[in-house]
Amino acid sequence: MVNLVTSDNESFTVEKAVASRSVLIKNMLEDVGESDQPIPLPNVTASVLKKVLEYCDHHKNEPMPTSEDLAAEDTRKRTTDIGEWDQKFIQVDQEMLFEIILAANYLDIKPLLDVGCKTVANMIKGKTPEEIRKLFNIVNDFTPEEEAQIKKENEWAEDR
Amino acid sequence: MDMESIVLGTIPHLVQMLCQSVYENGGHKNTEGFTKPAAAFDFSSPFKIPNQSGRDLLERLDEEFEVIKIACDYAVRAVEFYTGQMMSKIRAHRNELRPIYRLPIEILSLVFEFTEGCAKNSLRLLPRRAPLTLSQVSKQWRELAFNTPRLWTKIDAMNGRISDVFIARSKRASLNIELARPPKDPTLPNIVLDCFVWYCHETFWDFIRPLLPHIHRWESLALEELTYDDAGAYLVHSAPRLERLTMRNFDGRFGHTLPDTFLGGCTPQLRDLEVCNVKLPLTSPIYTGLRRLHLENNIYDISTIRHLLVVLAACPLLEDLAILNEFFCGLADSNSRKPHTPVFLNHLRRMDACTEGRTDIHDIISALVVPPSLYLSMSLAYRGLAHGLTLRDALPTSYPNIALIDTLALEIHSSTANFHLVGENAGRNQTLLDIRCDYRTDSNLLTLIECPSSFVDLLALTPSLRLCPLLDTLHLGDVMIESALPLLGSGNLIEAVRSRSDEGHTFDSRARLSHLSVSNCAGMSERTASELEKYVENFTWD
Repeated sequence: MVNLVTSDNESFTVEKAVASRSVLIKNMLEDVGESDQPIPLPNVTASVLKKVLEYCDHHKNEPMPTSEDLAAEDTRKRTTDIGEWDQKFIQVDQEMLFEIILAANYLDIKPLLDVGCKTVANMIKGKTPEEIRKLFNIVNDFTPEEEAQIKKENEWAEDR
Repeated sequence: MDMESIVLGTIPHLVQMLCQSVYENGGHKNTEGFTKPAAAFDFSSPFKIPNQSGRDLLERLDEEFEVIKIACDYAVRAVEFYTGQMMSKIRAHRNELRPIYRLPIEILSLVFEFTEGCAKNSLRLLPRRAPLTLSQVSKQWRELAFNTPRLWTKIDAMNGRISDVFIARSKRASLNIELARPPKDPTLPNIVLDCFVWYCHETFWDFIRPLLPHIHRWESLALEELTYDDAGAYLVHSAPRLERLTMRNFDGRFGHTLPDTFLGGCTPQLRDLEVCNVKLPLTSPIYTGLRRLHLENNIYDISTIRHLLVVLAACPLLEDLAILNEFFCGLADSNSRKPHTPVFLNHLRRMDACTEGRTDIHDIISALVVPPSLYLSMSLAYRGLAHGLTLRDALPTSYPNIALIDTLALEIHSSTANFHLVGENAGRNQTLLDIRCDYRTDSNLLTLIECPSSFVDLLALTPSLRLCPLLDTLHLGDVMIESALPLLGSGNLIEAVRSRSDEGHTFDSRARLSHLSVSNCAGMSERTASELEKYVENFTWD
């Protein structure tokens, strides 16, 4: 078993197979060998780690991505399909979604990072810039000159 | 003092003073009090315009008017520019506090790539299509989109008219060009199909012209319904970085074929080639070094199987091969009758074949030397078997992966009129063989050799089972007929034959079995033979 300590000082004891879905933790475990020492995760809060571990536990028996899979990165980026369980898992509010993505990036869990990024991509796709702004509660911060340039761009786009 | 120095010193001060006043007076909550600025200005002439001698008053007043206008325009532009920049900065700072902005640039870039790469993106109207939309959301997103050349590499019918924008923004990244018929989807706007038809059938030159100077950057090219004339005329230069080429359903008169000069005959990086209903001779030099080759519905006027084997020999690293409904017209010469030289494809992982009753495919398979782990999928249309060919002729004579197959399952689906043979390696949980045969209910000749007697049982026409209702000729060889006899007295062979005679045509008046031959079948007796003779015109037994 592996003991993980979050930034808000909460401890999680999990199977090694679950924790090792994170390449970061896997490498740490390999470096320190057999040890009871807790592994600090200063960039992850308890609520986020709980979700991440739920994902790792569900996928613990799947093969880890190989270098061949990573080489097929281009193909990976050509689809935004997400498995059924993963879709349900990632149905969280935006704040949590981004936290999961950040945690997956920090912990180096590529498949979870992909699920998070694909979810955001699915939210964005087919939307106009204004709809995207509304979705993420961001505002148009272009200068008048940039606005004029964009307007000019849209003249050719609107012909279609 | 020049105008720029004046505004640099005064405008920020002016705006900041006004902002401070707005705050102090609570004006940011109520803007109504600021609609009439400075009503109490002193309008007496403060200007010190030199009085040039020789000019009359009229000219001077006109000049003063022009000068005030220039000063006004400049001041307005300066105020707008300064406040525009300030407001943009404040809004950018506000955006930075939103959760989406917490994602690092490299992750946001990944999100962008997923958005751009998703299947329907290229079918969207430009105002809703990534990366155009992404580049118009905010300053940060725009900068990121412009600094991710890979987002701008897809050129197709929908963005063809602004391909120069995509080409410029893609910088030096490899280009992916696609002119393919959109899927039949009622939710797609009509313009998606219109754009495809326009470029493909009317003005291919307009589409391809801006792309040709960048042919050295082409990574993939997909073309559908193009004319041979267009393809032959415009695609004549080599594509040194082309990795994937797909061509489907070219439009041309009989006899049209792609010339040897197609793509300069030089595509050294080509690894994935799909040719469907397009005449690209197998002698073309672009069939070299492939890892995936998909040939479908092609009729080769001069090419023979031997040419195909030469192609395969030139692709020793081939991993995926599909030969679907191919037709080799080449005349048989003395060479074609010789056994084919073995072609070693040590990396072949999957082979798909589909044939309508021709024997070509097993000639090809028998010439290949492939790993036993090969996944072989075949689809045979028995209805096409003609000129005395039987299903047995169409099936391969040897299976290269047979050594690893330890489980074989045969399914017969009377409802869909096909049978399905699946071979697996149970230990590896791996399917290695998948043969589907559409034997069609209009088959009129059936040969069963060394098969279980239960196959014969299935030939009896009943209200629920009507296999091969048009069966005219049945050959049985080495079939155990005896096993069925104890169950039904005269045996299911008799029942099968009787159900197809005048006496038993209750279920389908078209069913008439005229010819029956039974050879070396255990269990056949004089009594059974005399029964069978009653129901068929021609009966032979040895």
